[in-house]
Amino acid sequence: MRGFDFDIIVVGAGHAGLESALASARSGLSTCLLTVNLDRIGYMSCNPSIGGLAKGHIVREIDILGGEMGFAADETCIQFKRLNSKKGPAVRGSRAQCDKELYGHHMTRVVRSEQNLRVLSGEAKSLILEAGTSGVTRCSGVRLHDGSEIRAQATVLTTGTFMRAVMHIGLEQIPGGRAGDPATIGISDQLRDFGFTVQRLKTGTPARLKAGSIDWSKTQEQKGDEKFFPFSVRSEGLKLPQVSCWLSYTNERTHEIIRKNLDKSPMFVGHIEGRGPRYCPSIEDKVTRFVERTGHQTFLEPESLSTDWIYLQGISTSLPEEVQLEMLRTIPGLEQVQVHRFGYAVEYDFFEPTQIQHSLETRQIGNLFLAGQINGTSGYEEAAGQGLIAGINAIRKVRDQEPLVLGRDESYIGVLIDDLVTKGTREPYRMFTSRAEHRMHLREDNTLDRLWKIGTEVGIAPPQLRVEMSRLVDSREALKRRLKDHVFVPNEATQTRLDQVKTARLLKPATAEELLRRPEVGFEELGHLGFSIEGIDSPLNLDAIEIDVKYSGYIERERQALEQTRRSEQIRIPDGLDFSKVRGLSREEIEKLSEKRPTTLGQASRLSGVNPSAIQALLVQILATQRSSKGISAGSDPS
Amino acid sequence: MISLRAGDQDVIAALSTAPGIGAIAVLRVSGPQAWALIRKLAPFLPQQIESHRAYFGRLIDPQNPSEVLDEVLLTTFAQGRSFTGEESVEISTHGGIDLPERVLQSILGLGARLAQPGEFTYRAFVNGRMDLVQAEAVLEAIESRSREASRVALRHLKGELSRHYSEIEDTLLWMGAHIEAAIDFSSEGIELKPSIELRTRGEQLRDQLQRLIDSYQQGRVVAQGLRVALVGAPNAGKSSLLNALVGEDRAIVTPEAGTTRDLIEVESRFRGLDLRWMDTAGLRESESVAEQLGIEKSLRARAEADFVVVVLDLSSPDWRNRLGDFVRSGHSREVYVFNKVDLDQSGEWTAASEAEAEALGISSRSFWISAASKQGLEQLLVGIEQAYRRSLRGGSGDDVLVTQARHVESLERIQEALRKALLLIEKEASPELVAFELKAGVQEIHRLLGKEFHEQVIDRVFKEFCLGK
Repeated sequence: MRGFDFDIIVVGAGHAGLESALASARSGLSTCLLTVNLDRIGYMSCNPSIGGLAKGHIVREIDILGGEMGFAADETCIQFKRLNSKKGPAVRGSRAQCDKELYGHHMTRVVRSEQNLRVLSGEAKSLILEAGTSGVTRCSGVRLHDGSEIRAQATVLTTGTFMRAVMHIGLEQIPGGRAGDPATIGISDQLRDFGFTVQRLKTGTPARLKAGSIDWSKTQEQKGDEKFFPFSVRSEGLKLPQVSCWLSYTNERTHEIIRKNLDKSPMFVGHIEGRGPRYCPSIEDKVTRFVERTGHQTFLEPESLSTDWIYLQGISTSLPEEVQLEMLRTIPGLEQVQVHRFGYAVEYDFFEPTQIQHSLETRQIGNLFLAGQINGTSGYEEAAGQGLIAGINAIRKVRDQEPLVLGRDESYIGVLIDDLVTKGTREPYRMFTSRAEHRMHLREDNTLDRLWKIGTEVGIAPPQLRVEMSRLVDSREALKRRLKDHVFVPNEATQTRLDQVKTARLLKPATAEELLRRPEVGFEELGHLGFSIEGIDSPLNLDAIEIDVKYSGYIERERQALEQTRRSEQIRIPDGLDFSKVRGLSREEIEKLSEKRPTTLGQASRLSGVNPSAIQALLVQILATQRSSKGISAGSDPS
Repeated sequence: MISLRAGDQDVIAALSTAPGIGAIAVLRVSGPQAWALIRKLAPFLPQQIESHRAYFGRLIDPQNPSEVLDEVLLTTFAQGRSFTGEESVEISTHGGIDLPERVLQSILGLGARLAQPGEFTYRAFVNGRMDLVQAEAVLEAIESRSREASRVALRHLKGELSRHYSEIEDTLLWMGAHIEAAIDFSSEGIELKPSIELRTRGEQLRDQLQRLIDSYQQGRVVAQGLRVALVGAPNAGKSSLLNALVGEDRAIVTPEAGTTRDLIEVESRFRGLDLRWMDTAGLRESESVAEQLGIEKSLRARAEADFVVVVLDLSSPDWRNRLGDFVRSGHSREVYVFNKVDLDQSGEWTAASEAEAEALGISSRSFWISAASKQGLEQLLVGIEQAYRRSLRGGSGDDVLVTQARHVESLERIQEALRKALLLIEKEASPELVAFELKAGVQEIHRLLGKEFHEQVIDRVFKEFCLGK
């Protein structure tokens, strides 16, 4: 390594940074993980859980691609739930509430034991920028607070909510990205000066309560599911005792206290300029936006088996401490509550994500990758998914390989990155199942089938995982083949058994697959008919196969509908196309297109502010160019 | 298939009125700097040209400035305020063949290019001046042959049909949003619309779709005319009747039965109604292959026509049997014409056939005529017109009519998706399946409105355009 201390340096040891650093180290590159606070590796700054709707999908995808998050969540899970279990297999989402202390310990242990990974403590104050070979500026590492330099071939920035971060509690403002941790000053100013668009976002977190001060009898117990579906193919089952959560509600008295004190809320008096997440509003927002609601639910969630900290889900707030306490004590069960830490809002810098490419490398500075909240997202899972891809592409950059870009039809991570890069975001971006147009296909249960090939190619998964994946895929394929091959003939024995499992008799011979397509027939019923499922040991596998069979009609229709659009969508926009020369584009559209430079019509069509008629115009322009370059006259030339 | 040059900044020009003898002809010129180009022909234009103003003066030949091309009226349209969205000029010249052509050639000589078929409308569409439905309406407006047709087309052009489609889009999106919220925010304790409200909105939408689909029955007639098939036995006088109705000899008439073997289509107009007459081969057992093919065609025409005129020959003894056959197999939009009353000296045939019609319950749809003496033709036409108007569902004249097959196909697909969605809601099936169907509906309405880019759709719409529109 000429003049480099490391192949790759990752700045930040949160959920994004961890995945980047582990991917890099596991692929054999020398890696540095730089963090300000060694005690907060893989720290859950907000809610103590991993997964959830659409987020559970991402965690499983991370797992198949060789990431750590899913395994860490399984190992430290203290309550498991499958959300939306009644709303259909594609929109189900697994959520593991984790022991937050143990989660951090797990991650610390993993990074410490990784051979090629050095974990260093320090604050990156600026990036080392140098002229690259082709005149493009490149990033060659970071400069620390003490002036020393760490040089690396590629740099991944995952600074979360820390850049120029300010915490708000009431009208008080404290510099810092998280309670107890200072803000990072320097990098965002440096990049702004370089020409990056830097904007501000806001997020918030609720109070943490002392368990002993809560009257649990006034709340409703919420147990986890009986059945555990681990995120990771590496997991062997639950390791920790399972706990309950508790449900309570705000009421009119709570709301009145909030309304009376809005003049002390930093959001409402205008102290916060950053935009907050519409989808995860503070209780102040909820009370003012949904005036007619007389109560909002809140879950009281234990943060750890070893501490008495309770997380108050749904009540994030930045009101002054004394107001928070007054308000909390109106909630049933919390009349005598004592608080470990009050809620607060954080305001921080992020880079408009249209400035990065699908590889997550910035457009303006080579060898610099951005992942996580720095790109305007919210959530551990969204961060980890980007961190993994940024890590993989940093590796590929160092090795001079083509970047990995996941398709929207392949994974939620692909949807996430494509949305960010082509549309940008104005509020903290959170994943939803409705963002995925291939929703029927992008399910949790078939993550393995969707991504195992890519995961194997990427090659960062621990060898044991790769072995396990190919074993699983083989067993699924074998069972699918047997379903097609096994034929039931309508003899008396079969008909009787069909009656017994309460499904219609056969009029002609049918395969096991055809029977499984019936809503009322599952593998249990097939078993009764004499079809054995030997060789398959996990319920998750059976699920995946059954859903695939039952949904095949929908998946096929989805595929056809999207094929039609995709053909047009995948039409490439020529690299050097001068949008200002395209007839029929408005000034605003020309600016948007020139700035974001979509590479396909599909991307262009998803840019906000670009009208369908503009896409028509682009389409015609491209077709005409193609025709004339093929020597076929496009239109009647006046010559 | 149109092959338009995209992105070129050409000024295009074409004759926009039908070529031929007329008092005036209108040329249209559109493109960047169109005013500057025309100024070279029209020195009388003032320094400051205003939009939406008419200027009168003499056009000169730029090659030969002393030569006056014509005295014209120029109407100017500024960029963003014209049909195409571009700077445009409309030139009203004197009519005829030569004058407009010379003016056009002079304009082309200055660097403009002859517009391709549909290109003005295409530019209007690409420049965002209209949606796809409105673009189609331009074609309809130009092609409309009746007052009703042009009225409907103009309403489409004004966006009244698009507005209906936008409403459909809104409702589908509204329903979809509620289903999606129930999926994506199920753990946030937000209040959702009860499924009964979704169903109500869905059912209203279903009715709205049905009304639009039903309107095509009338819309197609308005846009394309009422297709009336003449059927009957060989030599019953179908072709003679056709010639009598249209007032010219379009069908070959011979005393020989089975003369008409191919389908003949002739248009005529009656009280604002466009009529498209289809003369068919007579129905009989035939050994001639050509005649046999003709008979098949005529059976098909009978099935596909909006209206069927069954022609019976009173002078032939078997009219009674034939009438019975037709009435048994016929549909409600069939009228019965007893031809050759001029041969009925005694009035005996007529009396017998009146009694028979009474017995079969078809008196109100029966007519006694003579194609030869043109007796009773007016009553027949009135009868067809009235029967047609009665057959329209009670809709008031203010209803929007769907006139394009493409739209009906789309609307039917949306209706099918909605039907499935409502069924799934009723069965309390997984919301993800409901969402799936609603999304299919949204995609289809976007395709209809041209919001989703689709090469084939665009092609289909624009390939039908003619020069200068």
